[in-house]
Amino acid sequence: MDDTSELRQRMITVIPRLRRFARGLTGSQHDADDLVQVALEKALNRLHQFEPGTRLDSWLFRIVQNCFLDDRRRASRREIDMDNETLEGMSNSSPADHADTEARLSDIDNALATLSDAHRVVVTTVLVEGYSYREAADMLELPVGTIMSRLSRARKALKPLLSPEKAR
Amino acid sequence: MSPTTGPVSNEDLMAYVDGQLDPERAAEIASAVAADPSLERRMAAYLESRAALSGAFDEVLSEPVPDRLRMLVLGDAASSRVVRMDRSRRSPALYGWPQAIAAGVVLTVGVVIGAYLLPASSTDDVFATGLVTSDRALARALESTASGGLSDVGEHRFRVLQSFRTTDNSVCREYQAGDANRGATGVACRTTDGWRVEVQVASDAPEQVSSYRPASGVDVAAIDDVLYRLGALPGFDAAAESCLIANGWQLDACTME
Repeated sequence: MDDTSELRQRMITVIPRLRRFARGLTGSQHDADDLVQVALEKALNRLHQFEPGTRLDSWLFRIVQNCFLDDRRRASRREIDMDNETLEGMSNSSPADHADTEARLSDIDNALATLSDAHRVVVTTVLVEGYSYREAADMLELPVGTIMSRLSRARKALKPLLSPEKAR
Repeated sequence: MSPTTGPVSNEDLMAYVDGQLDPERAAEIASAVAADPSLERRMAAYLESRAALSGAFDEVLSEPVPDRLRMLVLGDAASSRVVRMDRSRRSPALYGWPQAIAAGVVLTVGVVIGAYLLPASSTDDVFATGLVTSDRALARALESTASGGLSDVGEHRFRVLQSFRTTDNSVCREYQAGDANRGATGVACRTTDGWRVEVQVASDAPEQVSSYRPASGVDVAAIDDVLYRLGALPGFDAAAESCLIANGWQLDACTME
């Protein structure tokens, strides 16, 4: 049980990145935290399945993306509602956001929302989370070739939606 | 350095932008781009999306971990069990409990469960959760009492139901404790710091401990959930358990399957 408590401490350190990942996938921080909570519950129920010495972050990211995709598959109609929700959510953003940050997130969230779930997962994993193609392939349990072709197609599709001035 | 083999693909350009090429190949692409302006146009989508998305949600990283997530991960089994109990509470009939139970009794169980899952205030309380320091009667009972027999722990009756190991080679014991007023079923596991009670669930009928009636449906669901999370394996037989008690619960001292 000591092993479990150390593993749990390590899980806490990964949560900020899981929240950011879920933010990219869902388009709202509230939905993101709900997704992370469901994923963490799953992870806690399977702690004994985690192989010591393997990457804890990969394991947790994989659970988050599976929860996300499962949930979306269950609510396939939600894709239409999601776009509306995203647009609405942007105009009612939390007061804490700066105006220009809000605008920038708005464009990016809207742009990401136009991608299919599978494409958005790959784009978020590689570009937002900074994983290499190989790491992404391992985490998402896909061949590297699939990662690259989805990534390429998604980014070409995003081009007209992302203004060049949005670069940091 | 070998010349570029064939035309430069979009994925080559993308991998170049993302720093995913080995240095040799990256240098080849760099030369190709320098020689052919049309390649730069094809790279634009990759450069722009990379610029827009890296760091896009970085604000999240500097936020403190929300309490509900922190508590979920770090909270002991007892506190997270409270949530599950609330969601999964059923009428006894669904678990096939043969006796008819008055609604009043079920309500009492619900109230009692809530109270039992809080850490106990008295250090001698057999109903406490968390680490059991070795000076406590409960610790001594867990360390050396064989399963099945009824014994006294302080003011309470105590019986170990079974001992088992988990998939990560911990040893745990399921037990019941009670007195005239209340009873509970618990699971405790042995750590390097001592026995640690993973969960305590109130029994519906305190005299259960003395008479060893099977646990109610509510108890079974709560304990089963904890056993699953612990990775519990089938319990030790009497001989294996005796060996373990005699050898301070060292698994490799006793021949295991």
